Amino acid sequence: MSHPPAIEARSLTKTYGRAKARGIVEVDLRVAPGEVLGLVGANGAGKTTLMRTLLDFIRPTSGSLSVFGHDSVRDSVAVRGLSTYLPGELVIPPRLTGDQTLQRFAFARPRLDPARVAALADRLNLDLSRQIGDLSKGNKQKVGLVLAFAPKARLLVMDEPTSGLDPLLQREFAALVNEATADGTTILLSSHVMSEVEQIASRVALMREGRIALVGDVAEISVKARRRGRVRPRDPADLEPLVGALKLISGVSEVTIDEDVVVFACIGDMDDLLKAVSRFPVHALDVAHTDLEDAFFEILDGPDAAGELSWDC
Amino acid sequence: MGLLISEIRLRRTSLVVWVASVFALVAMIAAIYPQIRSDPSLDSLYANMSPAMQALLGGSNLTSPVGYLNTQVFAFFLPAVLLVFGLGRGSASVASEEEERTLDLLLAQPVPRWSAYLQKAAAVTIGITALTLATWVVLAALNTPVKFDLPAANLAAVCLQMGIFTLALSLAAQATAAATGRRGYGLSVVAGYTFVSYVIYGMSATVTWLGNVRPLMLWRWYLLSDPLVSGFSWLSIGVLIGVCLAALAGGVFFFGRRDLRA
Repeated sequence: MSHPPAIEARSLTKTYGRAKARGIVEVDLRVAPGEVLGLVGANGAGKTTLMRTLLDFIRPTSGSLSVFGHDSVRDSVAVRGLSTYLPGELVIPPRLTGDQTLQRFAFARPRLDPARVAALADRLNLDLSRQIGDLSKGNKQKVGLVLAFAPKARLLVMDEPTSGLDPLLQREFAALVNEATADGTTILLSSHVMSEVEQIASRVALMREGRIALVGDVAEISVKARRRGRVRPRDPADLEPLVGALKLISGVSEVTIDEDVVVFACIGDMDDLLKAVSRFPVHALDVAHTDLEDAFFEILDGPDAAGELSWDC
Repeated sequence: MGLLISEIRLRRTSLVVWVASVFALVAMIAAIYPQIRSDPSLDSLYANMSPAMQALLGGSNLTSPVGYLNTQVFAFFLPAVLLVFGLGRGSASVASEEEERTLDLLLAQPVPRWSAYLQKAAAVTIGITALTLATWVVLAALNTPVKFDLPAANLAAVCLQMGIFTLALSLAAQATAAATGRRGYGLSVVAGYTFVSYVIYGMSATVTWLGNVRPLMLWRWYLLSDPLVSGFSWLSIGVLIGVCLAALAGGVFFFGRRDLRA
């Protein structure tokens, strides 16, 4: 194999202390170079443990983890040389200025390109001459982003990178991620909010109780997801025939009449559905946007599991 | 080296204040010596003390240069000042980063843990060296003016032994704190040992069976050879350096193999 995966975990398990408290269990994961993988899961699902194991802050109990072919324990210095890290809870000594922060937390890296640092700070609307203690949470997070993006590492490991950022900056963050991946950078990021990851990542891994419950392409999962639809025919007399027509289409289910509207659920390709509906004079057709979070739970737990669970804390 | 430079830069103001304070303190104590020397009542005060108390105070009369410097500076006061600095810095150097959650960001760089640990230890060492040098510079400068008239080598010897002694304890505090991830453990365990061993060392002058445990009291390796009188004790210096190296090795080992807290 000429190109090792950016990240490869094999049966990676980490338990803590004598009580064998769960960290992560039997995690198998491959991330290809240039990919953006979003780790999603509730707090305590094991996202941070996986990331911190990758950087050798904690050691696996069993299994292995490698980054571009370098073992996370034996070659940890090489791994960290290829990666930058944004911790989930970013703490910087309050007396340091932004510039001093970059010096202190990048001392062991090749000298940062001042033009690149300035450009990043400018895009994020960040003043690096101010002391960290005087910055808002969002501005502090920006310093962390500069630290993560400035060294042009091959792998960016970011734990909850968009927390504290306003929507405008979340968009700027997404742009930074896109530019980085265009240069071949691999990105591993986590969130407990699916909608954030959905916009940025190409693949998503759902973690639950220390295990990777499901991995999939964002697009693929969207197609697999059930969407809710409503059709309102112009003529109420068409309600019953419309129900009959929809029930014949594979992938469509739960077809019922709600006053002057036909309500249904559908999965997968929508071509047959549209053709069937087009045979009737229709006043309106709505199909709800797929919620990836619901999709995950549906795939995992079957229909109707979605909605009962929520991880937005 | 980058971390060491960053450490020094981060704490240079505080170090300058410490050095200036020690400088002023030692200079003040030295400057009042000419008055003490002509006051014989201090000698009778000393003569009436118990042998254990005398041993704790350095074991010679209070008005001689050696007795004065031992009791006022070297037997307790100045090492205590240096230990406040050293134990504080040592226990904080690695463990505070972990407790304050800045360690992840620091160690996310391509630097081995042992190297980060040793650079932190080097910063502590530089601090204690600066305080020791300040002491030596003042005493060497005032040696003749205030009529200590002590051999230069003996002044250097006592400063050196005090410096390595406080360094050994400071590095032990760093090791304990880094091994446990708790600054408080490093501080309390080593401060506790320092205090208890001081008392035991003092009592061992009169309580004979305590003589057996005296080699375990680090104070013994600093003071027993009485460097102000007999100059460098290479055995003592060797033992103290050995403790420094053991503390470094232990710290690197235990800090290197454990999981860091998030």
